[in-house]
Amino acid sequence: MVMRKLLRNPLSLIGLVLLFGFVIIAIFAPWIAPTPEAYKDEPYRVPRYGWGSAPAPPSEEHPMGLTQGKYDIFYGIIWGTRTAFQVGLIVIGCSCAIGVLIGSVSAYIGGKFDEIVMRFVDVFMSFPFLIAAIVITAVLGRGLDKVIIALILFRWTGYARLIRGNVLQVKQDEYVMAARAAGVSHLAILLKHIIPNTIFPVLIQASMNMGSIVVTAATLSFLGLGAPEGYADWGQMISFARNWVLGSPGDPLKYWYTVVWPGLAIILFVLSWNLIGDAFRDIMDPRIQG
Amino acid sequence: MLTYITRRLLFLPVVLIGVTLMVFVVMSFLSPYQLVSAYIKSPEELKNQSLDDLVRKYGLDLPPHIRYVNWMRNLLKGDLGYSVSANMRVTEAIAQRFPATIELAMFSIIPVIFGGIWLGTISAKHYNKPLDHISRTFAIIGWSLPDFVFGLLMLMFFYGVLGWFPPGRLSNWADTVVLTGDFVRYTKMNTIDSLLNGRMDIFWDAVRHLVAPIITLSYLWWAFLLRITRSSMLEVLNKDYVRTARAKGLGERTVINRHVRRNAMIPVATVSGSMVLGLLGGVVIVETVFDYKGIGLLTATGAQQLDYTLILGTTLFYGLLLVLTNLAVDMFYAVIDPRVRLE
Amino acid sequence: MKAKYLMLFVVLLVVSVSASALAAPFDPETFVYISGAGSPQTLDPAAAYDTASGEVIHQIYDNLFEYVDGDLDHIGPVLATEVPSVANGLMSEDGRTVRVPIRKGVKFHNGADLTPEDVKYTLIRNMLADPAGGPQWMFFEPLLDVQTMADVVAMVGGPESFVDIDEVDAAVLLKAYEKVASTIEVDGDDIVFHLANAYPPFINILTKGGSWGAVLNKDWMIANGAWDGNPETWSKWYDLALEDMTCYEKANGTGPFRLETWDKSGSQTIYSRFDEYWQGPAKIKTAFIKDIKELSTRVLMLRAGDADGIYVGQDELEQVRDLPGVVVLEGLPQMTNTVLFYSFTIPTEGNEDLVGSGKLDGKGIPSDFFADVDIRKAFNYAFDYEAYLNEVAQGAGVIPKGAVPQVLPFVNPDQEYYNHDLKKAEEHFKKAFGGEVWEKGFEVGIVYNTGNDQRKTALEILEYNIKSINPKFKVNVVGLEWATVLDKLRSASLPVFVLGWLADFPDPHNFTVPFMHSSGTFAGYCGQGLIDLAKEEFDELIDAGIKATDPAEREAIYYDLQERYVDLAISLPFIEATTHRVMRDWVQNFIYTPAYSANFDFYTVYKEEK
Repeated sequence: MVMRKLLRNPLSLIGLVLLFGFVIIAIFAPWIAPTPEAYKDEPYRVPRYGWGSAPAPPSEEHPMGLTQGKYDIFYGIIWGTRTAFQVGLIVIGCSCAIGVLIGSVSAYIGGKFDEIVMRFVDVFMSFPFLIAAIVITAVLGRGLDKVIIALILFRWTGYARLIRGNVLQVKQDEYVMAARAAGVSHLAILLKHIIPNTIFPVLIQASMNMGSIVVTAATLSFLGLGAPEGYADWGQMISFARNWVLGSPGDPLKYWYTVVWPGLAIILFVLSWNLIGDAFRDIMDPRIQG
Repeated sequence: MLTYITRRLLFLPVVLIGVTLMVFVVMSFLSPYQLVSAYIKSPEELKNQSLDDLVRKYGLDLPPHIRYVNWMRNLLKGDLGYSVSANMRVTEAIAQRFPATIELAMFSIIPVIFGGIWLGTISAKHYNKPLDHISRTFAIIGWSLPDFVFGLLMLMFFYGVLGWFPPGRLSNWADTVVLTGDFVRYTKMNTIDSLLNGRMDIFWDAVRHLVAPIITLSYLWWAFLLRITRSSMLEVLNKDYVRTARAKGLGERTVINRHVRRNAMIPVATVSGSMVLGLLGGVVIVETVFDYKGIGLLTATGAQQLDYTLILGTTLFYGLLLVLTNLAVDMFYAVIDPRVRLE
Repeated sequence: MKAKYLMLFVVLLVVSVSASALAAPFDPETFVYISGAGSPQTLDPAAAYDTASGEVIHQIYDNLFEYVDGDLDHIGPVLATEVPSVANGLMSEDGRTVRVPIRKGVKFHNGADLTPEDVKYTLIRNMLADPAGGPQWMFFEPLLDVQTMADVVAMVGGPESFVDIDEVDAAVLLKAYEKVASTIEVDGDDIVFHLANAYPPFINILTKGGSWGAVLNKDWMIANGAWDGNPETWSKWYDLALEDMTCYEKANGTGPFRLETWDKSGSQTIYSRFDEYWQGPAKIKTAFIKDIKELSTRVLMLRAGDADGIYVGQDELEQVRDLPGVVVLEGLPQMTNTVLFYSFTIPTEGNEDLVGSGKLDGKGIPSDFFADVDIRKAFNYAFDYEAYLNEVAQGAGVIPKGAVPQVLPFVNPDQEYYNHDLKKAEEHFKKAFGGEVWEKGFEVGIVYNTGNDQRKTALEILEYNIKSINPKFKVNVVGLEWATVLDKLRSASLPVFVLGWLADFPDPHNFTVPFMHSSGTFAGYCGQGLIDLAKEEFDELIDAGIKATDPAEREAIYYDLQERYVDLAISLPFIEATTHRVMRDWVQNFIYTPAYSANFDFYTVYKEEK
């Protein structure tokens, strides 16, 4: 039912097609952009074709050109798709799980416990997100794993709040009361009755955040706190372009390929998630029926 | 309402202690010799120094809990310590840099709110029609494009090609006037100070430096506001009283202006708090690209140099700011929506 | 309707603002340099030891001497009236007594006259203050043959080390003061230095380019809270935090510019011309040094003419080379080299990331891996020097011939050096550890500090070549944060790391000590193995080299040291990078001096539109 509606809406259809394309690219990366023999055991290392720093325009061998440091843009984009999914899914998965667990348990138990947990959540929410991520990655050191940790640490609170509000409502519903009266254990009530009935808005929210996580990771790369140099990561590919955006005076678009390809990859990826998320919400929210 | 405010304010210290404790826990992962990097900032500065002497001199080998107690003791005296990366006391650094960011955020909020709400209304009015799709796509691209790319493109176009809006906060001549003459810096916000000092030339100069960062910041936030306005508008449009209003034969314009927009603003108001903070944190990139010396840039550089005192001071400050903003938003919410009662 | 008015207002605003923007005229009296090197740490010459600080101090203060026309071999007087030498009788035959006549009629920015007493006070005050991490060792070494003020305290019978100077007996402190004060005396219009041993580069240390040799005004200093000259109270000013020192953000020098303000929150320093400068006022009236991190922003400001000179990294020069109205001076020699260091004794415990198993089993390296000279030689032969020079550095530099850069004296131009030779590398790998290395292979992490792409590339070149020799050789290029690099340097746990060394003064001594002496900076980072070797092979020669006064004798010693360094493959210097300056074509009379940390000397340059 939902799927059919998603397919019927032109915007969400575009989103689905794009997403499907990215999934295909991620799965078939080793065939689309084979790893050079010399670095067979490090597929996420973008091959360099020369030791210099200036970018080189697209050619037959390198269809998207070489970016700063002579890294192959095409290879970086293709394998970067995997990185984008990895980062997005891990961050969303972990922060959702933590948020749902803490939020629902806190709301279910309620009282003082809930109060304490919520103050704890407040502490995490008192850091502007980007600043917090900068501090964490600066302390833990550079690397994608550190970025993921930082993102999880400061993402889960949003989901916790969201589900808590929902659980507080559902808690008083008749079927929960009935189950409790029937002597069903708290854990079973939580898992079987409460979470299934409250998790949906969280999932929608989460899917809409997929895109912005990739953008945030790119921003951290720009600040020199993202993936290690040369790792297949869109954020890094685009931050390689930062020095070349200006082009040269007579030819401002001289290095267009350094920014356009990775930029396009990020935009389309984010776009696909946002289009789906938007449409999803319109469909799921029964109050909006245009 | 008063009890609500008092209760929230009572929690303030708890939250702030939590925030700083967390920073301390994170920072305690660092060894004393990693912290030396605040004093020897780069390999080029590694000379004939003794790392041990620096560690001893600045007490970098003290255990974190002792540092925390010391820091707390100083905090109670109103002293946040000395920041190596900013070359001044943390309180002074915040006092110097925060007005710049506030100025930027303040001027950005106007186009952000008007632009975002306007686009959101258009989208909702034309729900699922081409205009809706266009404005949403336009905004989503803004949201998807990493801000440094957009900022660099802005800089290139407005400064590089047109030569209009230079980076920085003031031109050199204006800087000389502001910093060295008898120009009084009441607020440290250049636009306001220049007016107070009656210097229109400096006012225009300050504005000229603000335009490009404002455009960059607002484009990025339009998408956010558009989405919220749109969905809450849609929700209200389907409410009974709107249908009634329409059935009564009121013009679409009157319906939207008088009934819908007003009610749709309530959820918008709630997110405005988080938007203000997002603006304050999100300015890091804009400040970097446009060389706009604000608090975001200060924190980012400090963090990268592992400047212990600065990180603590600014996170404390941000925490305070956030709690107060949320409080203000709650109160605002209660004022515009009579159904909400704070307890 | 309202929206339309708003739009109209915005349009009007944009038009008026942009119109005013276009009227930025060429200003021949203002000079703007934009660096990307960060803010100065301090403006106090006693403590400043980083380039950004040196850059500021350069404009405000004068030293006793300067390099004339950018020539390191030609020192001329500034606040002195003559350069001491044995020939003019101002330096004793044994090089231990140096007499410097001080110029008269020189004014400080506050109007005070320069006296020999100011010079003496400056140097004594700086040594007594001896802030940790500062440059004062350059005076302690020649004058007292020690490294720090704490060493002087120990020398006169104080404790070997102390945590708080207040714990030290007052009588000892007085003796320590006397020891320091006895090295410099005022004799009429002259200053007389009494050196512990001959120290040929002593004059260089006092020459412009070394911010530590800047001359302060005694009365002004005391009035502003500096040490009052009382022999019994100096310890109150000993090793203060940078921000508590007198000249931290204030300055009163004799230089051509006064410091108008250090705008810390705007990361800039502003200078105004000192009209009573004793050599005549400068042509530039107002000068700025701004720090802007983002390269694109700097380049755009240069293009717009809002900056007269900017900092651009070597690998970013492509951005500015062909800009109209912009001049790029390339190939300027520097007293620097970039080196791959080997740690001779590596802790294996807790260091698994870099040394793997800690054994010679193909999955790691043993602690003494690089103590084997064949391993080091094999690495040295495996590096592709030409590829690095031509492709990465784009020809900006020369391939070294040892630890000392060839721009300095006493470097043997005929010294054989390593070249890229995989055959020879293979031979040495086969010899190492009795053939075990070749058979079992190894795995090692080699380290650069993140953010430095050129150094990363250097390591990748090495990685590529070593892998191609034997598939069992695994080399991983590891990027670590600078903070982590520092931490691991301290415990000598980086098996292989890249760092550069920038000289403080133009003499081979400033390279042989850090690279080869057992007490040198890098020996400490390269493990006990190197320290032991240095004691045996180098220490004696290095100590003899600095005490020798006869240039021929010094040449022989440094040639010998160079040969030993290369034969033992202590480390791998792979480039002596040249530098460059990027400026507008209206900048005239730019003189490059390798020893100066200031990118532009605001006194010599002027602007003239073409």
